[in-house]
Amino acid sequence: MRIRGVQRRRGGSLTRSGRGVSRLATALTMAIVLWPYAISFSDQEMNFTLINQTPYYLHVTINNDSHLYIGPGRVVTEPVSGYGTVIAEVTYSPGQVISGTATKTFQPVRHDVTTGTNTCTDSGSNCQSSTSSSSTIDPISWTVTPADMATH
Amino acid sequence: MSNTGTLMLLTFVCTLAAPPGLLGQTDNESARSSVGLRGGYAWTPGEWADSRVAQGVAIFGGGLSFGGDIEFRLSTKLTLALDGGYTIFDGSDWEAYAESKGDHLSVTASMFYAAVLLRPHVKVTGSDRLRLELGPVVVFPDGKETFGGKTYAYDFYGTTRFGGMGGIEYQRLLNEDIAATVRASVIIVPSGVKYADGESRTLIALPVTIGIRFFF
Repeated sequence: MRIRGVQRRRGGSLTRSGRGVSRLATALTMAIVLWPYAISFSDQEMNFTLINQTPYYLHVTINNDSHLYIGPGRVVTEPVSGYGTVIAEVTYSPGQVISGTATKTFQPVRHDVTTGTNTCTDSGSNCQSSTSSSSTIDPISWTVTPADMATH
Repeated sequence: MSNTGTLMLLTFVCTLAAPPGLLGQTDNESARSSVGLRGGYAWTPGEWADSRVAQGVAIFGGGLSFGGDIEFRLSTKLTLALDGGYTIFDGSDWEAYAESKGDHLSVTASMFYAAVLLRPHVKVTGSDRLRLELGPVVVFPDGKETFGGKTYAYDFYGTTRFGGMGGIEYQRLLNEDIAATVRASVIIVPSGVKYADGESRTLIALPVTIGIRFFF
């Protein structure tokens, strides 16, 4: 007996090819159900802030995104993933009779917060408890000073 | 709007409003559809082209400019053109300056632009023609520099921007269907250069070109 492309034995059990299709369908169903959570998990972004406290212009690279000629006292903000390592590299911009570079690696710190609620009806005789969890990520910043810059 | 932009806009409006007789144009000498090709040099006046590190030292120095357009006749004195061009900027000033400070770097920068231009034909005398142009422009900038063994894309000069374009073209008819042209244009793009720390500058380019136009 063939039902929608899945071959079924007389006793109701699936053949080998039928089980393969069934597993694929299960995997697809799970992927579809879990997809929104996967997106929200990987999309949690935060801002990385870099402050140039040197008297010179800087070339700044944050996770391979470059920002050039950042002025003294100026600030650069870059959205980064809250789940990965942030690598920031700064170099004195050319034409300033000074050379130096610095690299720092930052690991975002997440705080998971679980909130529990207890809902009762019928004068407290019928109670239901539920929990919800969320997470926050500490902002990351780097104030670059001349002391950070290794001259070469 | 800058003084130059205001003047261009006023001239353009007056031209559209003026009767054909005042423009020295008759129906026999009306605007025609055409295709044009051109080449020349583009100047880059203003602070936008300078290095942030050293004022007066150009990262985006003037350079060769090429372009082409196709224009369609709308009326006896007006055409609509789809115009595009490419300009290569010269970063040698900045390279030389950096070298003098002990840094070796190389700069590559260019700009592609596309515009939709209204072109009123303001004067026709014998085989000489003159027309203005004005319209919106979209600019696709591109630039990078290699410094310290690493190549950096110019983030401050790499985003598609919108602005305005105006100009004037003199046409000398060589025969009934071909004309030699001399054209001067101005491209103005507010925030055409925008640094990651918030500072922005208005991009101004002045391409002056000679070319040829085929009427159809």
